[in-house]
Amino acid sequence: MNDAVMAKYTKDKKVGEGTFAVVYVGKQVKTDRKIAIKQIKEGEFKDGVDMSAIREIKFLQEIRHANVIELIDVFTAGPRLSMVLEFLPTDLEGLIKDTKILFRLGDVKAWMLMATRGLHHCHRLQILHRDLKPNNLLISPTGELKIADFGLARQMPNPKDKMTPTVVTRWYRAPELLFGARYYTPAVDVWSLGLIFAELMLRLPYCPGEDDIDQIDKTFRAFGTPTEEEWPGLTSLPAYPKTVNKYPHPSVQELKMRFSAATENGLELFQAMTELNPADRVSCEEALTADYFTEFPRPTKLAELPGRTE
Amino acid sequence: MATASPYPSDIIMSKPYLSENAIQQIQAHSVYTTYSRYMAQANIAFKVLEATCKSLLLPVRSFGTAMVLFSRYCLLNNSLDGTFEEVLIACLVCACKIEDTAKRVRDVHGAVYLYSKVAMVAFDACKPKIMTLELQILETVTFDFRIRHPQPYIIKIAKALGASKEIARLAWTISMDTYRTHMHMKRPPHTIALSCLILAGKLKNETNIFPIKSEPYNSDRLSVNHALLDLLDLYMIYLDSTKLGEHKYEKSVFSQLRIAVSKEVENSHVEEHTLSHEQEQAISKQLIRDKTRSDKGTVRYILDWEIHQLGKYEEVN
Repeated sequence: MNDAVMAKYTKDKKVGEGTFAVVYVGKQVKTDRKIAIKQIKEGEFKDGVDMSAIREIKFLQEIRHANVIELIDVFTAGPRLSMVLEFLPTDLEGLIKDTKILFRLGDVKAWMLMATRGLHHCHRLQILHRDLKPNNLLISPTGELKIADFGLARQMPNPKDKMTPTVVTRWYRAPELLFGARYYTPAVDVWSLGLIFAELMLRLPYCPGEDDIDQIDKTFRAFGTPTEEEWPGLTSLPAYPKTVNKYPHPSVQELKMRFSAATENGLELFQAMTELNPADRVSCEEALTADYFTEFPRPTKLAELPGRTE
Repeated sequence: MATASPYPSDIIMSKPYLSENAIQQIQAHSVYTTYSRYMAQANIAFKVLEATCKSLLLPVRSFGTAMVLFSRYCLLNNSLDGTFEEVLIACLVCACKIEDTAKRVRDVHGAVYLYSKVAMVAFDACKPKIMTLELQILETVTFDFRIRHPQPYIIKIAKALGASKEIARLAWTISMDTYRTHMHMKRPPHTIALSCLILAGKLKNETNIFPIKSEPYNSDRLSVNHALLDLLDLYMIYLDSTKLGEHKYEKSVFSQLRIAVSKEVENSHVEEHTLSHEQEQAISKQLIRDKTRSDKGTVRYILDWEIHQLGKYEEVN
């Protein structure tokens, strides 16, 4: 960043470094608003400007939603490319790991509601996120949850476009992706959201596979092994393993044991979001109308949510 | 002019569409100073990129985006910052990233040189240049990745019109030729699609789809006619090097059609927006990308709708 930007934004300190960018916090001088500056690394271009930077600019420029991170500016200064983003100090992963914080039922509901709303907006704009995980759900100083990191996002494909199945962090990867499906739907994001739901209730990852094969096993162990009748075409997916361990689908009783604090409606939504067959999984729109969101307790108000810094 | 901004930074708004007049004005200051010089290069770029995209198994939209980037880069800069081939490689690499069909730069480099008639320059020698060009291209299009293509609209409008498959196929061929021209800077893709279908219908003498109303397809008759004129101008001069040229149509067919269309345009009595010489000069000066701008200060890129969020001291180019 050069002097010109320093006049408009202040760059205070480095807060993080990823594979393709360095992140700084700063302030928008005029409004005193805190911002994050994501500076794309120079000199480390392997294949030019990083694909994820292009994707992020492409999608975030056109999304405006309370539950999606705001891209305030795109700058070039000399050969460097920088993005100015909304400053979001906390993420859901940090909150989940912070054992000092107690989650109330309403807190989980509020976060799930905000995440589903944000995701619904992305899907409505024909955008697949493809990397939902607690780490990418950021919390604003006022407690609002915002979906971030569109580095793997893409436009929903045309009917015959093949897509790569190696997306989404392993623990949150939907079964169709684990089996190498080249054609998939927004349902992959809903699955990730379902697993985040489980993680919010348990405070532990629900399917922490050690590698891709273990991930399949852990997924089946948690949700039961699907059959060809339940999911037509399942066994002909490219990476469907030759031998699978057969696990029964967990009964309602079993789920109630696993998630002792959850209500029946909550479990119903969780099950609907984690249907193994993507064709049977709920859409974001259907999820938003689930009874879970309207039953007691109500989602916690922003002002009372944990993780706020203001 | 507004009072000087307290910040020495520039704001550039994306301008996805330009008027015919503006394009003519800018052309004189751009890389290729006349339309015919541009077309000669665009025809080469078309052939090389088409062959490259085929060999790399890229979809049509990646090819289209690469051509759109190429024509914008040529029009909105005053010199090529590299060899012609390096510019082509950078355009295609950018297009692949925008269209999510990523290819390795090395592969694109190899293919482009394979189909160009020049001696191969070693990858490591031109790589830094390609990387610089890539950023320049992104700046030229002001990080506006809303590049849409006429092909999906051709299919949809053809279905709605009840046109035969041959018409749709011919219109598709014509739509590929549009990438040689500046049409994609002048008209939205659905208007281009409609004009391609009309021309295809006229060439095949398919009377059942006429008369075609433009309004249901969110276009107006005048802009469709202007698009048609652009197409006919292309085929009257460059028919032999176009894809439609393979279909063995007489050039006279196009000139007859052109007479009819231009008569209608003249009779439509639309006031032309003429600019004074000073205004035109000012426009072309603004639009040509100042390569030193981002070295001197910071350039901020915005899309049109973001303009309402700017402060009143911020001056937009």
